[in-house]
Amino acid sequence: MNENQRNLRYLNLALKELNPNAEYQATDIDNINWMNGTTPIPKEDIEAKIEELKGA
Amino acid sequence: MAITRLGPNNSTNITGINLTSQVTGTLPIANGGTALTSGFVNGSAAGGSQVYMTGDTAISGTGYLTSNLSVYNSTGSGNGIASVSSGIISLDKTGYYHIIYQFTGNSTSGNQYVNPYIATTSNSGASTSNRAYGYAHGENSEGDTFTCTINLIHDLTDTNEAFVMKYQGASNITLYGTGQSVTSMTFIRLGDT
Repeated sequence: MNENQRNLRYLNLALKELNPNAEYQATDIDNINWMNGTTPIPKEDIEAKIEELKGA
Repeated sequence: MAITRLGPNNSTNITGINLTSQVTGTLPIANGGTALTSGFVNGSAAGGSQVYMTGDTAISGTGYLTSNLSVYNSTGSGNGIASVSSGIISLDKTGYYHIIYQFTGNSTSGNQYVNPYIATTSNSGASTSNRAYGYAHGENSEGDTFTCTINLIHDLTDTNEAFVMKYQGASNITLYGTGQSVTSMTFIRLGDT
């Protein structure tokens, strides 16, 4: 797993914790395509959750 | 020899033969080839191209891939060449196609299943019709990666019908994309519709 894939892993984990029903495609935290009516999650909330997960 | 008549009196001077009225049967390959100057693109019944995903993409839910898609390794235009816009893949010629969807990635958490689909759309993706599918599975704790390959023979009778690289039921999945074919859709034109 390369660094980009590790980052995407944390992004997936964070988004699932913030909204288990979120539907999206994302190439990184700045490029998230929210799909099928999913309410976008603010970037700062995602970043905070990722830091929390990394510290866990 | 399939030709039943070639020119008047079997003359060696065969200029001015009317192919419509004076030649029947099948033509062999002439010395130096039998290329046509108009009316056909010589030897172009077959053709093909590939659409690659060029970067890793996290996916969740159901949809079709929309970004980081590029066309590679195309044959000449007019032979079934793909173009892609926001995930909608169009071909430039009707015909029978062998379509191969390669779907590669991993689970980023837990034990995950996802179904990749080859799907078509005639309304720019507003709705899709599933044509072929597979099952992919990965267990993050085992370090699994998966590659699922789906094949479809499709009779494309109208180039307004387009293709999408669809998936269904994704959760905690990252698909791999690079400068090579790892997550991709390949179109091989087999012949006329």
